Amino acid sequence: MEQSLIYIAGGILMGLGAVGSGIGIGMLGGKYLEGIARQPELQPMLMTQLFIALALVDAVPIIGVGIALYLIFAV
Amino acid sequence: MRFGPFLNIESPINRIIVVQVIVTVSAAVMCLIFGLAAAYSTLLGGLVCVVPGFIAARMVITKGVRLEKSETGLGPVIRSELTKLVLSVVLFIATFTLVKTLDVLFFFGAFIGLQLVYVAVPVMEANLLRRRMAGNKSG
Repeated sequence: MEQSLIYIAGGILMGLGAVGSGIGIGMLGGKYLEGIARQPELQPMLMTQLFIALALVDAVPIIGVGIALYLIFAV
Repeated sequence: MRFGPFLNIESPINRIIVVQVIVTVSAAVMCLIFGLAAAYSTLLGGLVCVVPGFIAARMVITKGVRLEKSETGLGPVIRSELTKLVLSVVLFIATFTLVKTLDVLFFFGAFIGLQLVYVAVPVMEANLLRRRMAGNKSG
């Protein structure tokens, strides 16, 4: 019973994190495409900035995934 | 400044990764005070953050520099993010299954601390730039 609760907790951790990051990455990607449609010459600079912003958006879900994997594999 | 063909520190992504490596190593050395397990847990937490980030950055930079018409969209970024996610998960699983005496507090502390570097470095650079511009105006 306890083990199954841990799996459910891990699943919720990963799932809710993925929802948030999905919304964030979708918005970022949309704005990036708008940006390169307006000024294609800025594409390399925008891609670098996009990558840094994506790493920021990804940070919290990846921490969630790490804690969930710890619960599943080590607890 | 260039350190060989792989590390151009002028790129903001590489600057973040260099700071992450420095923070990881110095934090691991400082955590030796708390014992060997704490030190290598900190080092492993740092590596789980830095290695996928470095590989993803290499993918974006090499693709971003050699711009082709088919590669101007989100393709390279999404591929690099996917690689980063998969690598992170693999490294997490490998750490939790292979390392038995892991100090979880130090491991996640290092991991979360290094994620904060992604915020800290651009903010510090922006502040530095603002100060320089204010200094140029007054001087």
